Amino acid sequence: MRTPLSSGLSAAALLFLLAALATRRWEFILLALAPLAFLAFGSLLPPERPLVAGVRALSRDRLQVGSDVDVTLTLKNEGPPIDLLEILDALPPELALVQGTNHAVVCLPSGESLSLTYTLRPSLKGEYRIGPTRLRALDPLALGVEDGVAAEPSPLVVAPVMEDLRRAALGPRRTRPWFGHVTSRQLGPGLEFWGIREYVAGDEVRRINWKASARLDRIFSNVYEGERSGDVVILLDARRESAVGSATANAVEYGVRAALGVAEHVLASKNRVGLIVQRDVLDWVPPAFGRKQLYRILDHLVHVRAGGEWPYSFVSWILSRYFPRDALVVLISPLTDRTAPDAIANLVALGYDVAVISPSPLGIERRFVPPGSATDVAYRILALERENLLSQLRRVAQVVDWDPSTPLALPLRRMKAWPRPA
Amino acid sequence: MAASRVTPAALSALPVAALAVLAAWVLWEVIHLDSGRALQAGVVLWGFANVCLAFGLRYRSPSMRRAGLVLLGFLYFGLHVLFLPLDLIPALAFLTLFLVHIELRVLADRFVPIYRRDLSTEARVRIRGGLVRGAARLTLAGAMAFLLPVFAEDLAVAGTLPVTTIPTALILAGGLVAVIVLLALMPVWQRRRERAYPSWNEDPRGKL
Repeated sequence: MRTPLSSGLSAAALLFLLAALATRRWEFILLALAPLAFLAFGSLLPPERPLVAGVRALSRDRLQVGSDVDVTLTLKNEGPPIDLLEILDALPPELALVQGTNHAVVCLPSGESLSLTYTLRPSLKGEYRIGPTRLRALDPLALGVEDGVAAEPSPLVVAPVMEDLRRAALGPRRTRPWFGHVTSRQLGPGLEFWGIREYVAGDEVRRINWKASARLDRIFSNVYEGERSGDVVILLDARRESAVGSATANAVEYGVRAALGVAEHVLASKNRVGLIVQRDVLDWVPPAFGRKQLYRILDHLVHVRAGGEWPYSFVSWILSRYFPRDALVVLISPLTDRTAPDAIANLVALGYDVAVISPSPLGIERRFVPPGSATDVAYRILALERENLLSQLRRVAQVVDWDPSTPLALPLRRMKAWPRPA
Repeated sequence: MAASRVTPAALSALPVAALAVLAAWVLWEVIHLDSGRALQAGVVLWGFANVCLAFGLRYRSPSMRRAGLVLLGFLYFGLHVLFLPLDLIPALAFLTLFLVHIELRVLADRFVPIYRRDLSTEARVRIRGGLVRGAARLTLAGAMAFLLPVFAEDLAVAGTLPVTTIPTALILAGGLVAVIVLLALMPVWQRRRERAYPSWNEDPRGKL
């Protein structure tokens, strides 16, 4: 394939020729020889289509945002020797190159190999493809090129950073008849002592309170508060209007981190967790227990991108039909939608316990705005408006106002009980 | 390590130096004009070409850079067609420097970003090999572009090749036009052939 420079040289030669004919000066004919000499020299050894085999090896194919992955690209020339071979391993813009290079222009003789090693650091969660490796055999005078492809794309899954919520007292208030970690108001197997009662046939021997039995001369058994599990539904607002901030630091991305942290924490306490995501589509994961469910939720969260305009009424419809009524609904939203207070009130009216984790859009935006007196005044007015909104919501639900520059565990730890006792 | 710093710096500086020489050369020709109006027009055009070049270099705009370069070339040869006598050797030297500048710019654009990256020893050796090949080809092509017309002129002056007669010029012109048309049509013919591989310029974003 000829390049624009080749056409330019041809045009220059033609112009000199026309100038020679127009001015009847023979020197211009000789001048036309100079660009033609370049063209002729370039045409002597034109580049051939590169026949190069490539293998790409990744140090791991699943990682977290901010972690590094090492990529080794090995290429072997299985065709004729190539004077100049431009190699470009195509990368998505979200994967930053921190070491090495994915781009080189090399001389590759026939049968020889070359390894390019580089390190990538993803700045955004998602499912990406590294590659394909684009090859371009170049004429050293840039007069001709031939393109080819070597290694096929390699998939790479980048998971969001998980908020550490180990010490947060977070869990459902209403329980279901399965063993778990939530103390219920019913007697049953558990660790929390509730009282004693007279021994009845069938009581376990290890539950006999020997001190009380000796003092009262009758056999008494300890009874405990039953520890059960409940359901939590995480409702993530990933609509377009909620994506306040930059591509990597916006309320939706922080919401995804919070959702993953909450899911991990609640599942670790032996509760069931479900997920609903408001994005281009209304995406949901039915409630379930265990590690597999965490991976299911993670898989859905990896694909979350801000988009769509689904109103809360559709979410309420899905909640009422596909999710248990006595679940704790954890709404993760920056609350930029003016209908949010009404929607939350409606959810409470439907019988759900509602907790709201709100990544503060003001905190996110303030980082991008240069400080100034006008900005400060605007910020204070907006902060008052937001505080007003949160006060309204606190009448019906637990609300956590989260500045994403701090760990989510901090505002959660400040809460005395989660959710608020009835 | 020193070489890894010197090479990209030298590669970046060479096209700029060649461009500076070209601009100074054209200015030198302009200020030797006798006519006042031509001098004024020449200086204005020279200034405009330099503004385009400076803008293109500062804001990395290849189109502006190309426009400035073409204007500079047209100014030099226009002056020699309209006002000044045309000596073959200086004109050839100017043209060769012009072409070498373009090729140096291409080499610099290819290699400087790569040299600025963190490279393994093996990759560095390979890249240096590629650069040496490119530089060697450029040197040979530049020498050919300069010496071939000089040699042709010597043959013509000696009478071996009578290039100054009109029929010979017409035949030569016809041959050159045929070559140029052939070169211009080659990309079209090549494009019609099968395209088994995706284009280099396709969107490299590999999102699933």
